[in-house]
Amino acid sequence: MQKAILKYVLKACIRDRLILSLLVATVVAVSLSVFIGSSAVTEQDQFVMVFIASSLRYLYVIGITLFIAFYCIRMKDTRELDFLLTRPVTRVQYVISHGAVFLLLALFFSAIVTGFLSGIFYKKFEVSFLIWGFSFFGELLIVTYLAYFFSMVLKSVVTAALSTLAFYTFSKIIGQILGIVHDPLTGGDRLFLSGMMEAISLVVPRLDLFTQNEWLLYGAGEDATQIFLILFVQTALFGSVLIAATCIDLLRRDF
Amino acid sequence: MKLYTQTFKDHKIVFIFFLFFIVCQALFSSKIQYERANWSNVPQAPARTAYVASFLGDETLAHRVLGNLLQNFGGSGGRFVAIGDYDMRNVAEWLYLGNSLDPKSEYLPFLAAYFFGASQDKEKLRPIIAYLEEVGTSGDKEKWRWLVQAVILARFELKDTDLALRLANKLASLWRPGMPAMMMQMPAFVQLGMGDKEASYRIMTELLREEADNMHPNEVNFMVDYICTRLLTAAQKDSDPLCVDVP
Repeated sequence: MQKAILKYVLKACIRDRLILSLLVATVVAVSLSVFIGSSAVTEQDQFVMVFIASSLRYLYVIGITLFIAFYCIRMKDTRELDFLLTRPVTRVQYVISHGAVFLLLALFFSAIVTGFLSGIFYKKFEVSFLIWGFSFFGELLIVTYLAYFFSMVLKSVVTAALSTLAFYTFSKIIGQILGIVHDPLTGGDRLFLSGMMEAISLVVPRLDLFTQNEWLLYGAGEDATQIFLILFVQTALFGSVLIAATCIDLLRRDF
Repeated sequence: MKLYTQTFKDHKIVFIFFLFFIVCQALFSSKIQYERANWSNVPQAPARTAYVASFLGDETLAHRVLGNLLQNFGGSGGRFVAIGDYDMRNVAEWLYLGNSLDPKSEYLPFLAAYFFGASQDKEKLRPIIAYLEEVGTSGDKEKWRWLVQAVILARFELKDTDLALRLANKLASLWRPGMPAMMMQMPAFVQLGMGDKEASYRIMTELLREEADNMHPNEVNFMVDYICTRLLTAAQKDSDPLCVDVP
């Protein structure tokens, strides 16, 4: 059944022109980054590298979010979901199969982006590029599972996509928010708000620690192993939380 | 085409509306094509947290975009503003902000020394020199070079020998074994007196000799250009082997 779902999702990718659109957009983003970065009076390579890494990250996050939102909502609208659940597959197996397929998609896309960066800057290539690539895979995987969760729970493509991107934005700035909360000058006098933000941060992934462009420019330093460990644990934990939450939502539904 | 012809016949009024408004739009555009947004000078730098949040916490990207913004502040869309007209206090605020985002980068000190340092209004250089002083004394490897640039700006552009001497003494205090002797000699150079381009020439050429391998090629080119076009006379330039490739 897992193979069937893999084929099904891949067909949807091809039908929605996901891979083709993202590859074309990648070429455009890389070209624009090279053009804008080359206008700097010095450190052009660093500018180009940062612009490519950041633009591709946002491009793939938005691309995969939209694809999953449209894919899942369409499955519900056209009753394909009902049909698939009549097959010999439990609801939990159905969600886990999709989780495995989305993991492969995230791996494929992060490999493309890391490959692009490594190819363009092959003279500067070092292990930190791989750490960046792995962290991009983790970030993309969490976003993918987030999009899957919201798309299964909500009924509209717009609300599912917006909720995913809002949660993603919040996860990217949660480090900044915690910085304000922990700063005695700015956060010390509002105990209730600080406590509330700290409580919320417990269930928000620390995506601000992922895909730090500094690793591409200056290397990951001596903390590379610790960084890798944090990224791995965060991805595994929050990914599992989202898959479990999606399972619970599907189990409680009546068809 | 046939379909368009038929649609035109059936809905002439819509096509007439379309043509009328497209002509009006073209006329309007022709009247305002020389209009430009007002140059309200360099704005105040935003708070660090707010600025970084607008890049979703990506400090490296925020730093690079800031660098690009600073480089092009007054010169975009066919408008060119002299650097001397910039509000340098605000420029320095942006520089401090950018430096806090990526202290390892040499881009903003480079802009401060060679780009904003070329301001026609020399008195406005004080915030830029203060910025270079802070970067130069940050203690990071090779950052002392920006303190040398601060000394040169204070002495030859701002012509404030007291400030130049204070900075030179600070530079000398940073010297450690293995670093260029020029750092220790700087207070003596400054005391040689204002307008001593020969001393400046010695500083710059020694810096090139000792540190060129550690610098970005663009920075080396800027330094060679500075020596050949601002420190040497036309006759000296013609006879100096360093200036062979400088037009």
